[in-house]
Amino acid sequence: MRERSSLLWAFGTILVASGFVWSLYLVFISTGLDRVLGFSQKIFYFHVPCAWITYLAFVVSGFGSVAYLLRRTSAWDHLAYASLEVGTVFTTLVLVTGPLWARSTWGAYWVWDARLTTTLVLWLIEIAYLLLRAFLEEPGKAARYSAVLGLLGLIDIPIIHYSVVLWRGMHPDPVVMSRKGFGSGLPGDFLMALIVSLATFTVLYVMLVAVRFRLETVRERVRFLRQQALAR
Amino acid sequence: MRVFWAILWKDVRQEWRRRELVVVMAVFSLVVLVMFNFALGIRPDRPAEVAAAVLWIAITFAGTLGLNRSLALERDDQCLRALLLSPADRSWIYLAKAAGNLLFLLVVELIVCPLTLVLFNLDVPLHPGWLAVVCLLGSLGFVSVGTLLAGMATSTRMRDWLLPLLLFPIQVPVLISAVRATALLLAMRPADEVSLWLELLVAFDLVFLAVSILSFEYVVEE
Repeated sequence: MRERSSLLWAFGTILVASGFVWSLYLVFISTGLDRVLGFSQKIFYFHVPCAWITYLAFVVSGFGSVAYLLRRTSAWDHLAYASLEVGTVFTTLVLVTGPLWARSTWGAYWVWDARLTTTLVLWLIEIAYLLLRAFLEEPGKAARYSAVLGLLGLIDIPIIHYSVVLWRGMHPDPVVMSRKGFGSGLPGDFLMALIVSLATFTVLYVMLVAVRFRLETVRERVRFLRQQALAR
Repeated sequence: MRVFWAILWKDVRQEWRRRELVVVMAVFSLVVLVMFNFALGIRPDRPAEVAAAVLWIAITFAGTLGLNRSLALERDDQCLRALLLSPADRSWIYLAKAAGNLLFLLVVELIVCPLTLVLFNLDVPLHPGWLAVVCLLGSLGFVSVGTLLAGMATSTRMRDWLLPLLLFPIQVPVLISAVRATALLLAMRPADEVSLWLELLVAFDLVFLAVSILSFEYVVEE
C-alpha cells in the first residue's frame, strides 16, 4: 500500500517535471512570435493555465465546503482547505503575471476591467478564508466557519463577476473559448503549447493539493494523539 | 415567530435606553463624510458620483461598527448561548439580529443621507422614494451577510478586526450597485436607468438572505 502510494508520488512528480520541460520547449523554442504582441505574448501560456486552475481550485474548495457541511467528514474539510490554499498561490501568480503582461501591451500595470477586478476580489476572499482559519484555534469551529465562507464565496463569485462586468468593459477578447468554438482563435502550434502547459499546471495543482491534504490529515492525527496523551 | 419579535424588541429597547449604537454609527458616518471632503477638495468635479461613493463608504464603515457591536453584545455574558439553549429555531434568531441591525443602520442613513446632500451641495433627487429603496436594498444586502460573518468574526481571536476582511470582498456587488444607483439618482437621471442596478441588488439580497438563514446554524452551534 505504501509502496503503491510512493510509486504514485514518483509518477506524478516525473509527469509534472517532464511536462514543464516540454512546455518550456514548446513555448520558447517551438512556437513563433505573435504577430501583434510579439515576445510578451508568451506569458499567456503561464497566465491562462494559472487563471483556469484558480477557478478550478476555488470550485473544488467550494464543493468540499458544502460536502463538509452536509457530511461532517473531516476529509472534505481537508480537501476544501488544501484546494483553497493551493488556489491562492495560483491566483497570486495570475495577479502577478497579468500586470507584467499588461505593462508591455497596454502600457499600464493595472486596469479596472471586469476580469482583473473579479480575480482581485476572488484573491481577497481567499486571503480572508486563510486568515479566518489562522485565527481560529478549535479545529471543528475552523472547519465549519471556513466551510460557510467557502460556500458564500462560491455563490458570490458569479454575482461579483456580473456586477463588475456591468460596471466596466478591456481584457483581450477570448481567443480560447470564443464563439466559434474551443481554440478557434489560436493557430495550431500556439494551441498545442497552451494545452501542454494547461495539462502540466493541472497535474501540478493535483499534486500540490494531494501533498497539502496529506499534511492536514497528519496534523489532525497528531492533534488527536496529543489529546489522548494529555488525557492520561 | 414569537422569538423573532422578542429578540428584536429586546434589541430595540436596549438601544432606545442606551442609544450607543445609533449615535456612534451616525457620528462616525459624519466624521467619514467630513474626512472625505478634506481629502477630495472643496468642489469635486462630479459631485453626484463622489457624494454617492462617499455616502456608501460611510455607511459601510458605520455598518461594520454596528455589526461588530451587536454581535459582541450577544457573545458577552453568554447571551447567545442562552438563546441557543432555548428551543427557538436558529433561523429566527438570525433574522431577529439581522432585522435589528438593519433597523439601526436605516436610522443612521436617515440622518446621514440629508447631510450628504448638504455637504456636497446637491439638490434633493427627482425621485427621493427611489433613493430610499436603494438605501433599503443596499443596507439589507450588507446586513444579511454581515450578521452571519459578524457571528463568525466575533468568536475568533481577532474579533472585530476580522469582519471587514471577511465582509467587504463578499459585499462588492452591493457596493457597486448601490453606489451606481445612488449616483444616477443624485445626478437626476431618469428612474429606468437605475432599474438594472436595483435588479442586481434584489438578486443579491434574495440569494444571500437565503444562504445566510441556512448557514447561521452552522456558525452558532457549539
